[in-house]
This record gives sequence, C-alpha cells and structure tokens, in this order.
Amino acid sequence: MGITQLIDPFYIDMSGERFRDKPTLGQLCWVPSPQPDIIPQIFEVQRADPTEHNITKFTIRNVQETDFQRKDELPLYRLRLRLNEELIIQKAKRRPAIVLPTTNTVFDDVITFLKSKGKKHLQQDSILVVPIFGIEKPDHPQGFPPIMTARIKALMYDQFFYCPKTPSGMTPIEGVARLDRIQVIFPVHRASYKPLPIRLSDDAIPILMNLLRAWVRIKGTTEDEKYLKELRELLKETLPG
Amino acid sequence: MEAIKRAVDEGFIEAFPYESQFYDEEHYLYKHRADREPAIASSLPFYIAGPLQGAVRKWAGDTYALLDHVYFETEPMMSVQPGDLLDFSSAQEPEPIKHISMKKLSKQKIAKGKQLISKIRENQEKYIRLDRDRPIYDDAYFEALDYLNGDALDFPVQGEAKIEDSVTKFD
Repeated sequence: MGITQLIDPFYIDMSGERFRDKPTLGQLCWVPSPQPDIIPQIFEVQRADPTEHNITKFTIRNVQETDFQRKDELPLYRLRLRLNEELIIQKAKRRPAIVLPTTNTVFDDVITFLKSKGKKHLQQDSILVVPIFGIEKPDHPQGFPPIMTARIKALMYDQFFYCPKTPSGMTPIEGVARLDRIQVIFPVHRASYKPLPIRLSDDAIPILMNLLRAWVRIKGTTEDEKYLKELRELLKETLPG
Repeated sequence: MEAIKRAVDEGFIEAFPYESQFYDEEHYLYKHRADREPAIASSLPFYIAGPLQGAVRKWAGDTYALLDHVYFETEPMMSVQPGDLLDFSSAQEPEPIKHISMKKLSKQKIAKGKQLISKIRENQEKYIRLDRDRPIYDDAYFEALDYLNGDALDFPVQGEAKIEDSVTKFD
C-alpha cells in the first residue's frame, strides 16, 4: 500500500537485456555494505619488529583525536600504510542495493600523467549504490518497524524509499533503500558488485531521484516541489489515523 | 567413533542418517530409546508444545543460526561478560509484530496520484539523463584500470588482534 498503489509495475525485468554490461539507473545489485560506526574504530597495526615489515600484532580501538597525525612511526610497506594514515575496521553485510550510476570522465592522457605522478586514485570508475535494509519480521526483529514502514510507504522521509517485494521468479528482495547509507562502489569485481536482472520502473525511478534531491537539499524546479508535495499530501491519507 | 559404531551394532543406540545443510558428507543423528519424546510432551498444553516444536524445527540442524539468535536476540545474553551467570528471569515473551493496515485510496485519488507521478517523471526526464554514453572500454582502459587499482597487497596478513575494553560496542 502507500506508494505501491500508485506505481505499477514497480520493477522491470532486465533478464532479456545485457544487464551485466553497464550499471543502469535503478538496477538492483548485491554489494558488501559497511555499517558506519558513530565512533569509528581503528585497526591499529604494530610491527613485530622495527627492522622488518611482518605485522603480527593488531589492536582494535576507538578512534582518537591524535589519530591520522602519526609522524613518529615507521610506515608499513606491506599494508601500503603511510604516515598520517590508519586502518578503519567496520562491520559489514551483503545487501541488495539500487544503482545510481555516475559519469566519471576518464581521459587516457590524464591517466598517463597521473601514473607518472603517482596520483593513481584521482581517476577511478565508480558508481553510487543505495543499500536496501530489511523490514521487521518474526525472523528479522531488527528491521524497520511497521509504523516506520507505513510512513516510508507514504514518502514521509526524504532519506528512505520503500522497495516492495520483487515479483516471483526474481531474486526476492523487499525493504527500505536508505539514502543516508549511500555508498561508493567500484563495479569491477563480482564479489564487490553483483548486478541483478531487475531494475526500478520508469515511474519508480523519478520518485527515488526526487527524494535524493530533497535529501541533499537541492531545490527542485517549482513543478518538482509542487508535485512531490501534492503526492505526499495524497499518500498521507493512506496512513492509519 | 569406534565406540559409537559398536554401540549402534550392539543395539544400545540407533543411528539415523540426515542431510546436512552445510556439508555433503554423510551425517548421522544418534539416539537412545530413552531420547524418544518423553511422556510429559503429550501432557503439555498446546500453547507451549506448539511454539516449542516450532523452535526445535526452526533451529534443528542449524547451530550457527541458533547461536546467532541466542547471542544477539535473547535477553539473558544482553550485556553479559564471559563467566557471568545467565539471568533467565530477564527473558520476555516476544511481542507479536503489530500489523499496520494502510488505507486504500479511492479510484479518483489513485488516478490523481498516478497523474502526479507521470508529471514528476516527465519533468525529471528534462533534467536527468537516464542513459549515458558508453565510455571507450578498450585495452588501454582496462590496463589503466589495473594500474589505478594499485598493486595487490601481499595477503594474507596474519596475526593476533586484541580488542581494547574501551571499544564501543557495535549497534
């Protein structure tokens, strides 16, 4: 109910297309999705011996104000860990996600230049994905509770977008796409990005994009703002009193 | 294992083959006659026996999922430290998930909503490129990408990790 009363179909089957060729706007995929901690945690590495690069001791601890300023420790060649750099450790889960492709312009001559300067991280092929989190069920008590799910279905949150259950025969996915957990992915390896043969429909995509626009506080055109407001007013009527 | 095999051969216990969810090898469940459902099971009220049998069916054969549930979703395990006695009085019956019924829109309202979505879609098509030109994916691109991804680290890096007591717990 809610937004799903107005969008039909919600998904488009891409299995007849070359869905692995390129990440398509609204396409579903599987990605490892990290859980950012309120206090990031450092995976502190200590050398076993100052004269060698083997590392055998690690400590997991909360980030401190003095981190990222290391100047009095030897760099760790084996981990490519340089001065003023730390390793962050995070919990992560494999989640379904929605693709928001980006257009990274890559020039061959600039690559050659960057290569010669050792600035290889400045041109990379990346996309954004919006991870999908589960809703509360008897076997998934930590999911979004019903009252929030109902409000999300009524488009009351800028940062949450409800994804109904995918049609039978497709990968079963249902949940809430969280724009507040949007992440960067390099779609080059199947373990870090597995595209699925299904995408949001042409009616569902503009709603997600409008929420994204509103969430990052970009003012839309007068019509954008008006239509979204009217749609929200309408969907408010689907909420229980 | 030899002692178990002998006990089976001599009829002290029985071996029941079962299919593991995790491994292909043949597995057996060993039972003694006394393990059969005790008389008390039939005298339990249905509201106890039902959920109990459901729990056994749900977790039987999946020790990993059972431990994950016990560690992270049961009250006696909340905030315990190794060596603590578990306080089962804190266990609570799980609250049933409250179903929230959303209201159905009238036909007219659905038509209005669809019209709004259509307008949003048309408006957006002016500003967002749903497709993009395919970049040149040639040998030069992939060679460059390999370079950009950098040298692979010499994994695995092995060692012992200590977790400081002050580490903020996840969740």
